[in-house]
Amino acid sequence: MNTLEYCLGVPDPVDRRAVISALSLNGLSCVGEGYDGGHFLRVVRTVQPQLAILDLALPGNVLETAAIIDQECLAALLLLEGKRSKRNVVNLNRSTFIILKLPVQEMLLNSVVEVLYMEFKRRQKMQQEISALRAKLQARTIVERAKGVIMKEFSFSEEQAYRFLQKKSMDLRLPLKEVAETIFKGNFLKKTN
Amino acid sequence: MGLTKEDVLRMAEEMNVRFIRLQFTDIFGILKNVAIPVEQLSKALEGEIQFDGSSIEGFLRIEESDMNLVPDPNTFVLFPWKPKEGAVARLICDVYNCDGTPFIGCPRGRLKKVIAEAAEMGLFMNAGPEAEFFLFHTDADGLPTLQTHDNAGYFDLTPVDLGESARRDMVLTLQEMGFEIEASHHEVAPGQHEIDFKYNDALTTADSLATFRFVIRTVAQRHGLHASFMPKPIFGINGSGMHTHQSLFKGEKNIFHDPNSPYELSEEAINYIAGLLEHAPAFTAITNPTINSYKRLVPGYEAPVYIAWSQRNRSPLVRIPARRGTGTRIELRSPDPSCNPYLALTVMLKAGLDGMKRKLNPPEPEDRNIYAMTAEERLERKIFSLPGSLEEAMKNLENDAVILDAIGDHIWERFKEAKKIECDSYRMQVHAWEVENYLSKF
Repeated sequence: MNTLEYCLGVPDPVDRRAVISALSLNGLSCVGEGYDGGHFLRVVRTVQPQLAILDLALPGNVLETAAIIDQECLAALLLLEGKRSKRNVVNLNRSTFIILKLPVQEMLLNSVVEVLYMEFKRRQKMQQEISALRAKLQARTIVERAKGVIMKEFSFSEEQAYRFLQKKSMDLRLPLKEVAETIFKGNFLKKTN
Repeated sequence: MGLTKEDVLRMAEEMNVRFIRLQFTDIFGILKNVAIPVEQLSKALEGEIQFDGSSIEGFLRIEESDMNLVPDPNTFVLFPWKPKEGAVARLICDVYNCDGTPFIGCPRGRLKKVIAEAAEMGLFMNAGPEAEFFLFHTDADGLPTLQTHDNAGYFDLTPVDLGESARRDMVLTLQEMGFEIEASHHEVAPGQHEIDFKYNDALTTADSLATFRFVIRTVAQRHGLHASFMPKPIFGINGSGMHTHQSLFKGEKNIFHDPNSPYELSEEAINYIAGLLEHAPAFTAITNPTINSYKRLVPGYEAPVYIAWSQRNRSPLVRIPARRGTGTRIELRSPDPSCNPYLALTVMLKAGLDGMKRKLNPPEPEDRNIYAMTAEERLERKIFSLPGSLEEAMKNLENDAVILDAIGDHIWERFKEAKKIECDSYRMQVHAWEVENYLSKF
């Protein structure tokens, strides 16, 4: 993982240098820096790093920025609590994010980053699987509904209805889901007109 | 879509909805929300949720403030951005008085009224808007700046264009909410974008526009950007318009098309155009309702200035796109996205219908570039200008009984009052331009 790229949002120059130099030991490179919450988001969206490191003391709404990066799975996320961070920490739900207090040992920083990145990869993969499953489930629901329509319309058995759909799909060279959708919608229009 | 209350309740449960936002707009088109927990949904669907109308601009005074929200089940949509637990959905509502009668100041109600008027003539309107907007950077406090991504120049060599990626996310989000997106592209000015969605019946289109502005803003914010629908945010470059394509249908048939007439436009279409042209000086106050709107309606930036129509030329107010058959339509080029979409569609449809009822005829179409004509030539050809300021438009509106009838007394009174305050406050302000030009001179 020595090609890992990260974006950094740390306002204090001493903290900033310390973080960059600690991470460079492990071959991580800083590919963008943000000077406030909104700017950090813009940088992360354009540079697309694997890791985002955000100091709670960064101007602007840092927690919202962190939440967006987290919710949209934009990058692995590490929050830092530096000298200037006090004002933000009060209403922070600590169970949501990993926060390291600065100054931090180089070894600790690097291993936390490593774990966070692995976690991020795992989560990314899971989300992809979830979307794929969701799409499948949706397709199946539509096919079920279309089957219902066909069974009622032609007094078919369930098996016959499915076969009918399958045949149409092959004849028209369209995915089963699309054929089912058309049938379902068509039936709906007939009902409303 | 034809959803029932039962469908909504079932869907809310299936989708694990925890909160529902009951949405409506004030008379200026600003989206308002009353959020309720899902346990209140069946009560809400019966129209039993009340709110304080006096806190909404242009609605009611304190003495008569209780109002009811009656949700339209067809507008049930899940918000794609998810909080940690449970989902949030919305329903667009009509506003009713607490005695169960429709509130005359509800913009959605006004649109429904003129749609009903068309329905009496056996007609229904399809409308397709093209809303443009700017994406600006925000500053450290999260407030919008005038800096666009295109001229920021920071990340010229990065793999991703922020504006493009934000717009792609907007399109995906809108699609998830059931929008059919027809086109999405960068516009003429730096940082300016356009997303077009498929035409639909007038009410659905107005609902979609209200939702659209809100979605675009939310997604932009999630990119560290601010999306602005201000008509002319920057002097010297194109402003943001909301060209609105419109057609009338009788059943399946587009009545604007007639293959045997000149330009293949039916008599109804010609009358409708004449109605738009006739009432344009007045309804501009509704379709272009801000002081800033009139800074867009100036020559040189593809925005219309003159009240004329044409087939090819893009300089006049009304253009007839080349499509014929069921796609025959009229494009009104003046509206801008700061308008209240419900009222804007109300006045456009009303103007067109009035043209049809009175069988008005427009002047000959103008295929020459009007900007290149002299004032005398324009006068000779009876080409007049759109109002040059909000005040002028308001005066015209005051004298146009047809358009006033469409928006109703209640909205008109409140609108007039608010716009007067807006104009006065602007007039009394000392603007940067004045300081720049006069401070050192005098």
